[in-house]
Amino acid sequence: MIVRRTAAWLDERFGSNALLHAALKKIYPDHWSFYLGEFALYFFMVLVATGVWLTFAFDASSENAYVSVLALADRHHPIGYVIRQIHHWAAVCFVAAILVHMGRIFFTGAFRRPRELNWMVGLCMLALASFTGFTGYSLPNDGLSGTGLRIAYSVALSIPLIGRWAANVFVGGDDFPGAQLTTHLYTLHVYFLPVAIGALLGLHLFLVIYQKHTQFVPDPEHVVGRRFWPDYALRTLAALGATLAVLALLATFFEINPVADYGPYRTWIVMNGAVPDWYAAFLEGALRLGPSTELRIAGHPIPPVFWPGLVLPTVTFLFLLLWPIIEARLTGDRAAHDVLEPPSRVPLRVGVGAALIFDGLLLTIAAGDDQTAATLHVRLDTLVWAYRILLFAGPLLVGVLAARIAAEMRARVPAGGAPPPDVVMLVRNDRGGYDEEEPQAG
Amino acid sequence: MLIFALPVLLAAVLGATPSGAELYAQKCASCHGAQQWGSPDGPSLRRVGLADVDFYLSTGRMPAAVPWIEVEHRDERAGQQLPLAQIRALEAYLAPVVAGGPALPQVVAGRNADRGRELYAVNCQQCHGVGGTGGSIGRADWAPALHAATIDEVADAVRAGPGEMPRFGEQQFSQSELDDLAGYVLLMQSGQPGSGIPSSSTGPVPEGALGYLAIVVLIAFVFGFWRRESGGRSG
Repeated sequence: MIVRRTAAWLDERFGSNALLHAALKKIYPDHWSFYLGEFALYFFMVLVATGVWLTFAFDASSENAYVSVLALADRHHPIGYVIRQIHHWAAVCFVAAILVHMGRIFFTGAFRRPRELNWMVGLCMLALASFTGFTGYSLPNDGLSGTGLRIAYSVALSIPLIGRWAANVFVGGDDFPGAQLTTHLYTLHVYFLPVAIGALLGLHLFLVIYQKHTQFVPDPEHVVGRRFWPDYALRTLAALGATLAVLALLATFFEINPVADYGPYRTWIVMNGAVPDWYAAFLEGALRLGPSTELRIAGHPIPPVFWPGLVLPTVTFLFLLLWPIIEARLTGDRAAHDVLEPPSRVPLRVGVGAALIFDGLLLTIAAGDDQTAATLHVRLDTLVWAYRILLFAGPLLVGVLAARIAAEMRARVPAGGAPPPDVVMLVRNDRGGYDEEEPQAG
Repeated sequence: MLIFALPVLLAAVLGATPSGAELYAQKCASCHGAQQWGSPDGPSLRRVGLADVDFYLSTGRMPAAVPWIEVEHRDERAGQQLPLAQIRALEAYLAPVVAGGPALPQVVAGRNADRGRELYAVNCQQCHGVGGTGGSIGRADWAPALHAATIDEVADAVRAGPGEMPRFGEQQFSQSELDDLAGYVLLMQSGQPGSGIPSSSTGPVPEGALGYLAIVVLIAFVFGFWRRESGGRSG
């Protein structure tokens, strides 16, 4: 009744019912893997909601930041403990959900024409989400994150020509940690980056709705799926509920980022086993495996951290950003596609994806090489060299193997794209028995 | 050798502790020398201090079962763990020889956990890690985990500085500071909240792995209802 009246009231003033009707009856293709992006969306919503609360409790000055977080990290805090726990867990899961979602898009070919731009928007959100996560991880000014910031500062210093200037502007002084470091991080983490993510998120969703979602149903003419209301809306609400439940469980049973144990940051203490949150750990791993020779170009020194710390992530990012164009060029397939492919359809893509995943995983594991060496009782030197060899040999081996497997899987599926349907038509024959009707290709 | 070994064997059969001299001759002298001046296989024990002797014996690093393990892998408890009575007998025998180095420390678990945590963070965490997980130092050595260390072993190590570890004398740690540090190590081992061992997480990367597990749970959830509704068809 109230809903009906409100709708009528709004419609009389804005003529909104036509739009509402179109929105509610819009068809969305359905598949379990299409919920991955929604999980990311819900984690982001939780991050904003809990983040707003945390801004009231956090003191964004270098001197008091640690103490204000320490109060929240205490289990006896009436509400702050659980909100901070949920916030940090949601951040960890947010980036994970984005990456898994991106993997789905990549391996099913959802990024192909006409959706290249939305792939790029999504990739920018991944970078922004990682950066937001890193700035948030750095805010408490504890021993662990201070070490991470010190490394980031050194990497920033290594940028040719502008490095020193840029790094010092960021920390707000000639030395680390500058007076304005926490304030700058806070501004980035609380205003600039989340707003940028929000803007891109709006564009991302608009493009999904405007260009229509891809589907597995091999029908390029029609969108096959469920109406938004009530079918899809209730399902996505269930996904939201599950997301909240999982976060609540994590926050209740697993203590994250115990800043009290890390202690406040002191510039003269660097501890063993210091690693960033998982999404930045591959950079730490790259720094640990990277070369240690300093190049000189026209008299200017290029510090060794420049290559693994900045060149590697930039090149990887650009490669992924341009992948829709690269793939179209390599395969010669420039047609528009609304129908998704099973991952095995393009062995090249499978090989490249598997190689990237292998190296990402290896660099992430390499971030903890000191712990691994101590646990396995191997010399750190031996481990570093093993990782270095694997870093180049592994992706080749894994990539070729994955591409081969994909090629063989593709060979088994009859040409025409669609796997044989589960529903079999039986036709009665002259003798009174039944024959299977041949499935129609396409 | 046999002449020395015979009384030890006899004593073992009879259940009595062999004397320190007998134990030294049997377990230590082949590397450290009959007069404790050392040999090409082992360092001199003269003036190393009783804390050092106690550290190596009570943690089971010495007597070495396989000498190269002891030399290469300092945190490996690969030696022959002697019974306490034999350790005490050896120490009593060696006391006059090793005198001049760090003395055997006395330690009780202190109650000031905040000071213990602070001392640990400033002096120990760099190598032994948050929560005493241990970690690599340099390219080829590592600091051991502290999960199994007793407070006496901690005190020995602090005063004697075995291997790569620095020596912390009375100037660095007063007796009461040593007590608080030892108390904090115990608290860390207990895994109580705020004690140093994160109760259910061992750092950001395992936290990330748990985050992925959460995503898998969510996928299982939607896969469950999607499969039931669509009869498992992938189209």
